[in-house]
Amino acid sequence: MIQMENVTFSYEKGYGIKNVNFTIDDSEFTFLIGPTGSGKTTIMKLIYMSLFPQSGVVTTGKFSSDKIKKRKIPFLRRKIGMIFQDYHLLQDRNLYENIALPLYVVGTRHSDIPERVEAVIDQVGLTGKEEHLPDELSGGEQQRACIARALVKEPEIILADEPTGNLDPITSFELLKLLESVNHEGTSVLMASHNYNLIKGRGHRIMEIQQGILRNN
Amino acid sequence: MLDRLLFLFAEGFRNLLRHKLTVFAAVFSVFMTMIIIGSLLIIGKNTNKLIFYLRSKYKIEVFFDNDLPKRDALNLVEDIGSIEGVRNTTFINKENATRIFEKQFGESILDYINSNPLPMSCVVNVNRTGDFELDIFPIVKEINLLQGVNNVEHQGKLIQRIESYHNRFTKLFFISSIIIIAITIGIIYNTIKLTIYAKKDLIQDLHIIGATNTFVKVPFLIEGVLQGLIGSSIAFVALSIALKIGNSLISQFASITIRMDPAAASVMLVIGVLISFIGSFLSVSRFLP
Repeated sequence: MIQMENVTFSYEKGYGIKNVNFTIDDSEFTFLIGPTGSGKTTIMKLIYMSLFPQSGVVTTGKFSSDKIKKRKIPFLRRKIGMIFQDYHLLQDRNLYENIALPLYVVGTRHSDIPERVEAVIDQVGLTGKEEHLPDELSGGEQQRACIARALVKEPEIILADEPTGNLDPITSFELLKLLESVNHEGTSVLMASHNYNLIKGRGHRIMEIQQGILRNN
Repeated sequence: MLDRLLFLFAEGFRNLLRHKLTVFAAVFSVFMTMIIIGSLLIIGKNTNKLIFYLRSKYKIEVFFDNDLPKRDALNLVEDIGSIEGVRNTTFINKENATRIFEKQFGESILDYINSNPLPMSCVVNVNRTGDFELDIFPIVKEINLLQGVNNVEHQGKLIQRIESYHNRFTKLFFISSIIIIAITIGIIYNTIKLTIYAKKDLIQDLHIIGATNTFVKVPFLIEGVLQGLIGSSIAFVALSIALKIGNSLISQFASITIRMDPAAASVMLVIGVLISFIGSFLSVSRFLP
């Protein structure tokens, strides 16, 4: 469960979010839409506690922004799979190594890693590309790799920040379907996007944010 | 746990291979530092041996007045023996003095002169451990004050000079080692800083996927320690080879062998690793708070 109660955060330059309230239940698929600079990424960062609210409380799973200790943040993030518009893949590591990295972080047994990585590579449809470096993959493939990296540690929540921002409409749609299939297996998904055409009619909850204020929840 | 540790070690090794130029600079500076420190250690250790030898041979010869009766001379020897810092004394009577003379010069003095001109004397051995500098001047001064003492012979000034050079060398060694070590720590610090900058993306991603600070920091520390280990190992090998060549050259002129103490070798490795660890630890603490 993700919950924001009267959350306000502003940057020095003035942008941010103001008095935001919402709850996302377990296994729910939610879209967060709004124009660039409206506060979508700020909400994401507050959820994985890269930022902390100036007022209000953010609760992600059993972790609460007003109580969490700094050393516990990594354990919160292990429950979250992050997907970014610009992929955040490590350019000097191949697909396999990129996807395996979170498993080393969470302390998975070395012998279990290949099987889990192969399974998730298969799930996102990148079988056979294990040895490829990120720049040898297309944009869609890199985003799939990013999803695989988020999925491999079996997170409770997927936060996708404009995952289709750099992709063509067909690839974007395929990616959305992939995220929906992940959601069907019980993972909560919060996907930020400014592409209303992509998300309309999918039957999921839509939250709209404008200038840091949640207008339509 | 073991798997994670292996992964962190592998990451440390990877870092070494990925940033060859900066790693070369760090390894080279550790190498140079350890060559200098290692050389100083070898010189210091061998000089110490010489000093210990000189200290162990330290003795004072006290010559009594020629007309001093033997009984008084024996009393004097007893008095000298009770001076603080004196370990023992050996009395040399006139007959023994002629024997020593004969032994040293191959001829008896009595062959030339009818009466024995050699005075009674005594050899004074001072307390010594070899570890500390000896100051025999207070003893010499006290002996000189005794009635019946004609002359006191010792190599105090020469040994004092050697000791003073030795002290100066030890101080110089200490100060220069600290300066060199500080410079090397600075170089390692900057090498790791550059590596951290080069891996900013990785660090950010690791934090996002839930890596603890320790998990992020350890590979950089391992990288630093490996740089130290490689640098000091190469320096150790280079010094051993240089000593071997040096000794074979010296052996053509003198029967001196310069040795590298096994303890010095271990000290070199430990210092090398420690320098790198401190450098990388400071860098990691500063740039990965």
